[in-house]
Amino acid sequence: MNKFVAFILALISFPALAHYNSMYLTGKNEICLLTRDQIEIRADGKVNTVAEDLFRPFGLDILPGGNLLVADSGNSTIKILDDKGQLVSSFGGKGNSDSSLLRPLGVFCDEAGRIVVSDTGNNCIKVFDKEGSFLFKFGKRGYGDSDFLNPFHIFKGSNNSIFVTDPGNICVKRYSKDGAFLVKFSEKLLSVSDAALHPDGSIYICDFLDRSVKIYAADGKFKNYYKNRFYYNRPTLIAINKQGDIAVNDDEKGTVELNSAGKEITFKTEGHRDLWAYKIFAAAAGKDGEVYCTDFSGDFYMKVSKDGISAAFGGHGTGPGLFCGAKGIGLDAKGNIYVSDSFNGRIESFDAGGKFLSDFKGFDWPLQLAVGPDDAVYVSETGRNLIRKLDTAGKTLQEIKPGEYFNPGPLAVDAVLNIGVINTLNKSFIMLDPSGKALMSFSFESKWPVSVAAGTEGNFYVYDALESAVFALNKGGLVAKAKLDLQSQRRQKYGALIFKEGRLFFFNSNQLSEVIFPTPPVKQP
Amino acid sequence: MRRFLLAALVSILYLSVFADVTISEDKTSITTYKFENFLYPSGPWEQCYPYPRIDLPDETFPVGISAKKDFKTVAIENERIKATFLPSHGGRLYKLFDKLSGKEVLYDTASTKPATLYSRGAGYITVLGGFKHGFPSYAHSPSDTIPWDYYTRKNQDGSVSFITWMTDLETDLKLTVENIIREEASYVEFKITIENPTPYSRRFYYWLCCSMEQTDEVEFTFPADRMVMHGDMYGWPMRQVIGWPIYDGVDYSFFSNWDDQQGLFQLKQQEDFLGSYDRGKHEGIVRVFPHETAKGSKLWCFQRNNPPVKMYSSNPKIYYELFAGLTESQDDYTVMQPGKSVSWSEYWYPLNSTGGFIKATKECALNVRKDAALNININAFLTDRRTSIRTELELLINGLKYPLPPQAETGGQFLKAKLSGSDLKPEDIIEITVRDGKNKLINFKSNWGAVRNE
Repeated sequence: MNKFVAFILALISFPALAHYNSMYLTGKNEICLLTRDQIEIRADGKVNTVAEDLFRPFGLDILPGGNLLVADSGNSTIKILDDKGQLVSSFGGKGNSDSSLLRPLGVFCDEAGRIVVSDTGNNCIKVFDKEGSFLFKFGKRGYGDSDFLNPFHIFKGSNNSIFVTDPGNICVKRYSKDGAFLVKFSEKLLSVSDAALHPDGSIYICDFLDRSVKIYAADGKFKNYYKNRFYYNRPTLIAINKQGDIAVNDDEKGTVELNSAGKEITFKTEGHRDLWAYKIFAAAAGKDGEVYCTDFSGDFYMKVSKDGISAAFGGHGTGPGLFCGAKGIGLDAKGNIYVSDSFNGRIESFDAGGKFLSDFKGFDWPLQLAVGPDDAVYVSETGRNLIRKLDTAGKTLQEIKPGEYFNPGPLAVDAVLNIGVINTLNKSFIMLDPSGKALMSFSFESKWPVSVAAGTEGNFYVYDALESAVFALNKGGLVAKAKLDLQSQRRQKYGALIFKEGRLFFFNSNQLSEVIFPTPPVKQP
Repeated sequence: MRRFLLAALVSILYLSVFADVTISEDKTSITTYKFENFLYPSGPWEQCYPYPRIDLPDETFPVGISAKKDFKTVAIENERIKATFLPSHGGRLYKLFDKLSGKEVLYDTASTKPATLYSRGAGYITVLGGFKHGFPSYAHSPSDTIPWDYYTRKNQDGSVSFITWMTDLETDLKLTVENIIREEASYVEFKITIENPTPYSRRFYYWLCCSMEQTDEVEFTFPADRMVMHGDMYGWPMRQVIGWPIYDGVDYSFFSNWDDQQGLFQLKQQEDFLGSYDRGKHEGIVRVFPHETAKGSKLWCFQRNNPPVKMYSSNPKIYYELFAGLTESQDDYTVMQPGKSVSWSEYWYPLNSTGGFIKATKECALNVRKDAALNININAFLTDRRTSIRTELELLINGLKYPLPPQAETGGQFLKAKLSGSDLKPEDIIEITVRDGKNKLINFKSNWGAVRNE
């Protein structure tokens, strides 16, 4: 066991209903996997179970001599195991007396041989001798420097000092070996899960809500970001070894990235998902033939080339570049991308490379959006029952509400800035002039009008996902209908229309196919 | 004069005989599934932290052995209702007995069957029934399964309170619910207070959830013309706004029309009432609340055919849920600053024998319907026994007072009248008022064409 050079605890909580939630201990060429009831070593594809009969082990340390020190959290017990996983000794047990524990999540052995335990459920840190006899404790539930709210991970500093991550108080604290408060690390933190000590004396803290791993000086001052801000989607756990190798678990990406001597190794965890735009919500054409899209349940937008999904941007969260429901999407003339972040009430913009540019806040449930030929962004602001038009800097230019009984859904804007929009209250398609005056209406009752595109010849196109049909409409009403043959192509019925270079396309299942009408739509005079 | 004295004597006798409001303790037996072995410690990035997460062996759980266990109950009651609370299960109002109808009002499974429900963090719920309090991270949260502290109190105004509270382990936010029954009223007042004693801004939300038994006879009264979907349906993603009560030609205010399960939130609610009524049982429930503070109202229904109710409940009957929240939807959160608090009162009461309702206040629920013969059918239910013996019903048509027919029943807890509306034109304005002396208890005004059919 002493060949381990770094360790990380990585609990995989995604996908949400996964039953096998595991933690990882990474080595140089192997991963030690802590499952919910055992420890395994995985190397070169082989699995070697080291210890069983555990109940969600969390904290882990290697004792001098190679034995394993484990916080068997679900059993409220600290266990010492030999390198074959056999129980050597244990102490603790569920309770709130000095010698008992309640869901201990962190544990380490200091250089004096003392065993230090984060007694999470009892909101204190307990110190035991190497035999497991209680020595002393410090901390209580509260908000002060010597208080805790659900302390999580602990690790040792110089002079046997004790670092404690304190998620409820959104900080990491350092104490002397006797439990005296020394310093707090809290600057710029939105959240705290794990932290680690670098050999250069810096403290690295996972701020999963801010999408960053932050670096602090020993005196508590913020220094910098590890990698860069927003590099991670949801960094939850970190480990650093004596050589300065750094491993970070990204709970959202489903990866553990290990930087060892400058070399990057990425492990896919059980939470890792291969991207698949399954149920397309919205799509827009890029400049170079690619398609940008969102799907129904995703917190990211995807770039799709002819070979499939080539990149995805975003992740779940409230920070810049993240989404709580990425929905509408559109591109301006520069190729910048606008995505409605519905549940966070904002529109986010990105450059063509996916780099976050800015967000326009203060929207009340924005869902669909379209970028017009005037480079204005038209947003279906469902919480306010109107379409909001803004410039690419986010300034509101116009609010469009064609009537009281109206709520905007899918929409598109044509060359003369007429707007085609679905009123989701009654499933009617409405064509509006640039001032918002209704020019025509067409009922889609008993249909699923989920996508709208604007043609250059005065027509709007509506895709009905229920019948997999495309309707062409202009001021005179319905002018043509095309039925798509998705069944024989084994394609999902949800999809989006894209009009580009004078042709209408339907996009879903990573495919773009041209929509051909049996009778071509009449050109609008 | 003699009539006045007689009426006064009757009133005094009526008020004094039924004035008692009592507090009592008892126990109830609940089938409890064994699932402790599937509860695992959680990490700080999980929604349920530091409460345990559940990792069930498969979706068809529970397979665990169940056993009957007794739990302490606390009841407060007056002559019209009895409210029974379970401190051991989130301080919930577990049973609400309507003494006027002799019926239990709330859905009750009498079992705690675990089910995974958190979208992130894999927390769990146990559907038990009654009113539960979801706080502060999710509408179904550990707060509704853990024991709460409580005490009871007799108040100076003659009312009694069951006061129950919990402090969230993750955020240290405190939720206190004072459940009050007054001697004269048939409603339960929920006085809800949320406090942030920490030095930190805390992101949270709160949802009160009332479970009711679902039948094909249930009608929902949500005074809105549009609703927000909580899940994907009708081709739309979650959060799309749809028409209400009729959407795509279907009247969703009747459960008999629900082919799919769905949650619906009122969009920007403007009224202070909502509820439901079972026309088969002749029983319903009314919620009256300050909509500017309690911005959220949600209706949740399983689909009519083959609902997956076995996953959640050991009661073969299905349920629907009426949610009351601080935020507009269950995808919104709100933030409370350090040292701040928010408090509001909601009034919930059982309703019977009115055929439903179209408007409600704390004092009165009113039903006005048009029947096949174009009669105006008026039914009102009064919650306050003091006012119910002296209330009056008033009808105006196009601003002119309309005489009530001789067979109209007024002056009791139920007011009933049937008038011919065959001469009315759709644009005629009818206005109905229930008053206690000069006080208007409820007022309804509409054109005749907009009055719904029975």
